[in-house]
Amino acid sequence: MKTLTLGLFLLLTLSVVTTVPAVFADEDEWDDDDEGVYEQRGSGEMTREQEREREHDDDDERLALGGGIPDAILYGTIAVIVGSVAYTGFKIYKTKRPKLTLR
Amino acid sequence: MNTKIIPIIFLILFLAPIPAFADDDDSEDAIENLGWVALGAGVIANMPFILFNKWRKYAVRAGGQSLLIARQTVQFYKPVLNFHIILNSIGYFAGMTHGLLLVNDLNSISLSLAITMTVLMISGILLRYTSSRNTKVFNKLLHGQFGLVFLLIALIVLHVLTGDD
Repeated sequence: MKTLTLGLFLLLTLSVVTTVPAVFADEDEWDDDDEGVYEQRGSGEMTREQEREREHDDDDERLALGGGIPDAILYGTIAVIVGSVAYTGFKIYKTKRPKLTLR
Repeated sequence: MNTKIIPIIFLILFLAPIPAFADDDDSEDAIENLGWVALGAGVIANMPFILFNKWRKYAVRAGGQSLLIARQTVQFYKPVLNFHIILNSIGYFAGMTHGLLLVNDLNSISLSLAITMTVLMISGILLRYTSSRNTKVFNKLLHGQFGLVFLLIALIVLHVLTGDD
């Protein structure tokens, strides 16, 4: 029991330690890359390229967040989870409620 | 004997996803391979536990010789349960790390998957570590809901298939 708890705690710590720096490192790397390319190619070309990339990203974002089917999946998931929690609660409530007997 | 086997199993499990990353030349294959590795790990983590529990329940109900065998296999329940908890915890934290690293590409399917995984993980943790009887009963019923399990499998398959978009 103690070993398992310790193992889970170590796992959690390890995941936090590996995740947090990597998330920040990713952003720095992205910024550095942009600056490097910017210096190499000159500002005019880079601006056009960045604009194209941004437009492409915006299209992706619209597809990801505003689309009909993906949103339906998200709402469906939330509905299933809420439904499961409610059904479980109802099941327990029904089991624990004292039965009324008619004489 | 057990103390020697467990680190070897862990090493194999930790090294298993590496082939999925190794295929850098064809990134679409790498993404799908990682997804199938995750699904395979999920099957290994859950199927033995589910089958063991179902068989034990069936044996207890059937009585006679089956009941005797079921009583003899009680000693295997704890190791199977611990294996289920540990492998699912690894899967959960690996999945969340993967999600945080690629948070820029977050879409509705990934978000749905993260929510479902978190609900199942929290119910599992509460089921294992709480001492309150009511909470235990509630989480036992919630953790074993087939609707949630099917939703999780469907979302993982969808996430794997749409991962390279």
